Amino acid sequence: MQNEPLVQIKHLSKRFGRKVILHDVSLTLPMGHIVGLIGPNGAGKTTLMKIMIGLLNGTTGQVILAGKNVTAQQHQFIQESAGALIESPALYPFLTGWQHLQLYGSAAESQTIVDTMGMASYIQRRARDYSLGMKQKLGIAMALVKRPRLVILDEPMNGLDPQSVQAFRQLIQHLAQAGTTFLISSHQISELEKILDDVIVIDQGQVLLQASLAQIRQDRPTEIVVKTTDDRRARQLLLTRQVTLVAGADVRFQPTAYGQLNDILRILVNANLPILTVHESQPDLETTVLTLLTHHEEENNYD
Amino acid sequence: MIKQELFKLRYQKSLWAAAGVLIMLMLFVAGFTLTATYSDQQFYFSVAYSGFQWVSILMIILSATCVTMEFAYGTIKQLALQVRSRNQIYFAKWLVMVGVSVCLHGLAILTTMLIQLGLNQHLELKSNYLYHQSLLHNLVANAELDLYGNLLIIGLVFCLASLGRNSGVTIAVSLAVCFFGEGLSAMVLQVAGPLTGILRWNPLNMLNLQNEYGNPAYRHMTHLTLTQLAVGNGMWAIGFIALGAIIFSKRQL
Repeated sequence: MQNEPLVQIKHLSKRFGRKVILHDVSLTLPMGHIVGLIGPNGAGKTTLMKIMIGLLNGTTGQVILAGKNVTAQQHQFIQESAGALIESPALYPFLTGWQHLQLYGSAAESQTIVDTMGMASYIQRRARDYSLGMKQKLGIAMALVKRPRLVILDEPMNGLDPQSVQAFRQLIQHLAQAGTTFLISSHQISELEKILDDVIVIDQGQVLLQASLAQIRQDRPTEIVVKTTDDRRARQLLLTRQVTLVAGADVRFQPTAYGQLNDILRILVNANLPILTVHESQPDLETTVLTLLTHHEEENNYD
Repeated sequence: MIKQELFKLRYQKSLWAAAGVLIMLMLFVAGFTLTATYSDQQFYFSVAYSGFQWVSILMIILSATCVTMEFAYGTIKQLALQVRSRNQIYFAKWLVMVGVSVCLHGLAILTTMLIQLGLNQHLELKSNYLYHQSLLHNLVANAELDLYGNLLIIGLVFCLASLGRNSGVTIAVSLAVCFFGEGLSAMVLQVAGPLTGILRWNPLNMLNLQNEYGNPAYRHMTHLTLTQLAVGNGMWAIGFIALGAIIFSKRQL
């Protein structure tokens, strides 16, 4: 059951007039997974999320949640089993945080989420007096208070302090272990990487990548970084010997043959360049995503 | 959804402020009528010391705020997640506003009675007034007619409010329509000539329902009987509510 998809999106497209926002998007969200939706501004992330929760209709294609089609007119699953924070937290300034939670959940559920998210000190204050971070936490709490099966969060870490981000990560992981499926969009990729199971990269309305984080890590090329007392000279020396280096200021290469490291180190030692350290390095998710987006942009420009 | 609307309304200061303002304004008008002639005092009593007019203004403000705030705060998205159709949100709000209108009319009647007990005890509530009915009966009849007329006003405001997210603009436009609408309709009907038969059914003309009840001479201006005005009022109220519901449910979030 754990890996059965809760969400299936099939060939979804969305146009506003002549502008194509989403183009033939197909993806799945396995049950109990934390899925990151990553892409630049204007990539179509928020539109995709709005269609998933029935706020918008797609122009073509299907959104299937727990086996049932979701449209703006027909979204019973969303009503009963989904929570969302789309764009900024939607709050009534004249209600307190506690009253907001009571609009969506019982007193017991509200108390649990208040305690878990550490909101007790200000939950009885009116929302008009909240800081950005407090509003954001309340928005997240409102999405989670009913213990939904599917939670969609658009930029949930905006305005959160480091302690709150950590508490948020722990809460999400705890709920995911209990079976809740999360789709989280964020520009804070390094923070997302700490909790994600799967990654979806989207740009200009197209899905560029959907894979598990484990798969991405496995596919990332391992690089070897050699630190010397004069990296600039070391790079020049290696380049004249036809060694292929990764672009940048440091001495970094992707090993292609067994013993290649020995050859490189020998060149440096023979040139009397002191070697300080040698270590393995893997590009992080942020670098992988940025590389992917850059390639996509270059392809589009070339076309 | 109705429960949720009532919950929000309970914590909105505007509702309680509206009730307070209504009482204050009625007391203010009542103060001026103390030296008026007996027949004028009867008239002011029958119209709840202008309380019914104030209720209409307050209902415009409350109704416009009730709809536009959801778009202004972005809370419409959270509401839309909880319902099968956005019509549920719209009609819950409409029902709650009709309920508020009933309560404010009740408050206007209660305040009128208290003013009579405190300041105008010499007014005979059982004395004959318009339509061979008692003064008290006229007060209640005016309240009922105004309540009915408010359905058109609330419908119109809901329709306008569904188009925008700025309650100020909606309130200003609605107030202009309600206050200048009757005059505009009268001007149009004066020069309409052969088109009077059709144009007399315009929605602005229906705002004269209570005026014509209070002063039957209005019949020459509206070109409609009281019954025709009542039917027209109801039809336009339904029309505006339905149009507002379509706009509300189709609006992009």
